[in-house]
Amino acid sequence: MTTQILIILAVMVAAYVAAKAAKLSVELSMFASALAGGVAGAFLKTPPLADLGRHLVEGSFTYLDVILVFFTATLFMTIVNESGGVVYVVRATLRVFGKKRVLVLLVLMVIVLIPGALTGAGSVSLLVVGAPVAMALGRLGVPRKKVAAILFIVAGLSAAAPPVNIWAMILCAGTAIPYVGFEFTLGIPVLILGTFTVLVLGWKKDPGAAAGPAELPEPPKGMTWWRVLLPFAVFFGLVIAYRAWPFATPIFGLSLEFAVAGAAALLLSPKKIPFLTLARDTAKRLLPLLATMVVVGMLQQIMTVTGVRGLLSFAVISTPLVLLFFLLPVIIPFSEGILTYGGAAIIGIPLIWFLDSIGFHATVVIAGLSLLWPLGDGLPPTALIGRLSNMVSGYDGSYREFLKATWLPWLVITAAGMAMIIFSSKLTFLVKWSM
Amino acid sequence: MIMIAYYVITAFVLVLFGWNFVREKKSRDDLVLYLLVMIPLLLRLLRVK
Repeated sequence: MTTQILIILAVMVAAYVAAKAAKLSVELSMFASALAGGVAGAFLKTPPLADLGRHLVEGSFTYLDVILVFFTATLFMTIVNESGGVVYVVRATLRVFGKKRVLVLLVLMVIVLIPGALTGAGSVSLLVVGAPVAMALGRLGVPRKKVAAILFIVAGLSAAAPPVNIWAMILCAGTAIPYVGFEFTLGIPVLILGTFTVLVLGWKKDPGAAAGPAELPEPPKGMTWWRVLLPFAVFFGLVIAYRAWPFATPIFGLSLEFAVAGAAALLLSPKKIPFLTLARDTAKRLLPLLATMVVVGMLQQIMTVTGVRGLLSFAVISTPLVLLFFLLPVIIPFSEGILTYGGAAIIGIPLIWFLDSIGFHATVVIAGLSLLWPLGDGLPPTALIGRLSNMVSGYDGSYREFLKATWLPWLVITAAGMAMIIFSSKLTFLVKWSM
Repeated sequence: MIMIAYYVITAFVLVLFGWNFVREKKSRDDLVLYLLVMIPLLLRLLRVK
């Protein structure tokens, strides 16, 4: 039986490699892998050929809720950006804290963290606030390579930050653990690591790197603080309301909360926003990410029905624990670089089952792993956040040099993530604070 | 009420992807991706599992 499953796994890997060689996107390569695995499995009637379509469709439903959160959150942040809110906040930050370098760096870090934290996608952070923040960092005299490095690390951390963490959501959905207790468990390490990153990489000033003040665009007339903050107040108000008054307030769910906040941002915008065009552009921009979610669900279903997932789970639980801890800092980022969110489903879920069963605290372990996965977004073949960071910061040097610039935050984040995994049972107070 | 709102959001997202799918002229890869994303949205609206 093991040999048969290994053959199916080999077929899936071969299909992925062949699709990549044919220059197909990561999403289509994963789809080809799922399809090939299903067909290979059909020879052994796992699943029968007639059921293959049903399994693919069923798998596509796995992350439907995450897809809706992703879309509504990104649309909300895009409306805030289009209304001029982001530029307004960045300009105000430079005006108010201009002379206090540390404060400017910290506020810019928070600005990058917010969109990713709300949407679960570091790419959204970079697409929405990346360019103005890169300009602001340039004005502080931070060299472009380091600007790209800061944006990459902080955007990655923003994806791991609460309330929306896609890796944690995938792991929770796959292991039947409720997606609760992550606010402080993720929030505190993300803030500490983000602060460390911006201070280490942004502390030194390079006089040659200063950009002219005219580079930052003007916000639209009529933009004020309350127009920027009220939509966020609506969102957080809805999030907090059902916790504060659980018997009087219905649970709206993140998608609906983002939709309501988006409507507020649209109404409060000082300039007219072409909503349908904006929504269509958002759908186009999100296509690769949403397709990844659909395809990862299919891949997961096919791996389950063919037995490949069971085999990988067995491989994980039979690896000596110490060896596993040495391998995780390498395996986790590389799984993200190759499979994007698929890595969480394929490696993360059996890993959580295993560590949970031997006494590690699942929520803290998931939070620790969530810090390691974003690092993989700078690794090939996908390198989604890494490439975007280079693009929005205007850095056109060697990609290897850019990665080298991230080495210290990379090591510290890895150490923090591993410490959270290894000492998870001692960090349960973070989960208790979050409940 | 909340359930209806979710169906409305799903329908809105589906319409956007359908619209982009119809107007996509350049990338064959993107056409396939649009179809993949539309599968769960359409079947959820039709209440087919």
